Amino acid sequence: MNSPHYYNGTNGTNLTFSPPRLRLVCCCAILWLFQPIMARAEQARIAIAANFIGPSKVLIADFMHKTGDVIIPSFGSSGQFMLQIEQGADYDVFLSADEAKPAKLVKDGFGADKSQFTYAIGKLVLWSNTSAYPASENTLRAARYGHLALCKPDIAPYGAAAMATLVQLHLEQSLQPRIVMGMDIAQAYQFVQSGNAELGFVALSQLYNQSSGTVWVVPSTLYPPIRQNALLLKQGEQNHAARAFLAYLRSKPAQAIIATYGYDIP
Amino acid sequence: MALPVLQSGLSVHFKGPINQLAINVRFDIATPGITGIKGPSGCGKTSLLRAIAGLHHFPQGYCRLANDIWQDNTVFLPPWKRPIGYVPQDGGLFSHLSVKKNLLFGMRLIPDREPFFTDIVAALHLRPLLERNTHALSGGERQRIAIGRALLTQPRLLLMDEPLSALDLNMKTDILFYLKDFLEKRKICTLYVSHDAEELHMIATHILDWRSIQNTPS
Amino acid sequence: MMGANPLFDPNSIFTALRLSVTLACVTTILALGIGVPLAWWLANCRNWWRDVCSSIITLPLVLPPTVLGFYLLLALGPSGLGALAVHITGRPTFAFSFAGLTVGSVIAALPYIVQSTQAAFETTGRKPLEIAYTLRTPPLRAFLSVALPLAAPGIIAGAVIAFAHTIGEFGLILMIGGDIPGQTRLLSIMLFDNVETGDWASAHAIAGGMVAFAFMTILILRLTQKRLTARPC
Repeated sequence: MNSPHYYNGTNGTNLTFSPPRLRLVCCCAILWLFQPIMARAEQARIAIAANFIGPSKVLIADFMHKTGDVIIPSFGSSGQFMLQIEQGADYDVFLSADEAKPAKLVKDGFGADKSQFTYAIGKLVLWSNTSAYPASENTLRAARYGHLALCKPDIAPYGAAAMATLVQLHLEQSLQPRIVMGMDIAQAYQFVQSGNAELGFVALSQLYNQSSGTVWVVPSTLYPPIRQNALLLKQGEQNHAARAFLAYLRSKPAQAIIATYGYDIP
Repeated sequence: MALPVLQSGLSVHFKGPINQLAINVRFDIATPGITGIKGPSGCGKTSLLRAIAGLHHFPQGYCRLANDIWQDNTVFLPPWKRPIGYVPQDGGLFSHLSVKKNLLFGMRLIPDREPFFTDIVAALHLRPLLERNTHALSGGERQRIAIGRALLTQPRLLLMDEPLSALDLNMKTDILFYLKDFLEKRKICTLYVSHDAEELHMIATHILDWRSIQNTPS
Repeated sequence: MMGANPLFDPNSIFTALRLSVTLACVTTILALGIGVPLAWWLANCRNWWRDVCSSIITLPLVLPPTVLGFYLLLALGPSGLGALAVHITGRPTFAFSFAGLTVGSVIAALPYIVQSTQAAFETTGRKPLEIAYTLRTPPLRAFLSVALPLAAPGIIAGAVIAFAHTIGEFGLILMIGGDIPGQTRLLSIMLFDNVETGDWASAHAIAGGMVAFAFMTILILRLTQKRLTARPC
């Protein structure tokens, strides 16, 4: 019998349940599903502090366009990332929102020596998206609002800066009941944007595309400078894309992009 | 104009489809007593009893007991306002209540109930069952309890749907005898549905054949 | 100073525990109050939109808590219920408050109660109720004295799961809670904080306790179900 039917029981050699073409499609589908997990060639995974979401998207697009290397960004609070990296998370580069965490990672052997550098100096702002409460030091002091959003001081550097500001203004006790905490600066932003909190301490860079609301740029005398450091992690030492991205981050064009988002340049 | 006539007895007419059956039943029972309704299974006897109880609403229907109209074109009395007792085929006991609480379920409102209760419990041989729960009961025990529960509400019309089908012959004869006596003494109008002609002859004062009350479409 | 006694210190684990348990109790009671009548209606309704309603109630079971949290943040804020909140609390939002968490967790817990209760009502069927009607019992009393007790095992199972689920709720609380000690810092959030800040001793205490609690809940559920089905009186 030479009929091409695969279900032909009389032909002992041809007892397959599915045609080979279907199998091939299945295999391809499975490979495609697992591709993001398996493929690791010439791409770098970067952990990025939430305040840097805006500029990093532009930077990554620009970098990928120029080099063809692939960058996979993750966003969160610096504290969260430090913990994940210590537990063996699979990142090549860490863009922290402070200098302490990268320094600690180097000390504990998770970062490449001498790879640490400051890529941006952050600016803390008080932001309001509710017209009845224009953002200013007076509004902050008057405390007529319901909620003041910030991010957790013990894990997010902008939260620490916000706390330092409140301490400098001697408001940390009186405002305590009004404070709501976001897990990272992105959540603090979201609390204010949705109007659930009338005021919030966020990063100036987050307001880049924000047309509504009022902003009070907190004087830099009120909090220690937010020096945001980048670090090449042990994991990424041999990763070409990771090294190239860090080099790009220091370049003039990259620094110019960062500056447009309201960061100071080191 | 004629003077209002004091009417007695049960007058029933139901028409409509139910469970793929075309029901068109009409009958009048003039005297209080036990009326047996005989018919093959699946002919619609249960539907008839449910309609009289108010559990099924035939849009076209009429139901009257003595001077009280339960259903006509404008009136439909809900089942809980009809002075009926209804004993379904399987007893329909409440599985979350003990036998005693099942019996007492419908008779909350009736005063001086103690002797009456004792009387009925004794007559239906229910005393040893009172504290039991309903799970371990036999089919016959269930039906005796259901009958007791219905009687304890002191109904004016008792509807019984094959109530003794699960009882053995001795028990059946015994209870039939008591039931007949009880119902006749209290002048409770009863509809007793069964397919068992012998059982019907023992208890019923007269028997309606399903064929004689079901109007075949002309 | 309240801080002296750890039982009343808003930053202590006891406060978080008390908050979690209180929220779970309030949520379960409210969800029962809404869910049981709803389940009754769903079990008896024959309209086509019954399935639509049922699906909407079930949604939180399938959706990520973040979706629910996102919409709740908008719904509780000034463009939603917050407009009402101004008159009650003087603040433009129900978010960051116990009331807000309660709204969220009731919505999240409702499907557990409705599904289990509806199944119980459907298993019981209409027959016991009809019998009760023929025994001069009007609908409301028949419902309370017959339908409800007969569905009790299902209702209890739903309530226990709803309670346990609320204790374990995290994503939703994270998004609308604001992590206020003594108000919205529940056990699950505190655990997250502890892990984030590296306080692993506290994290172990909470996490271990939660595992024990979850185990006990499931065990109790199994045992009571067995008893309730075996001995219905």
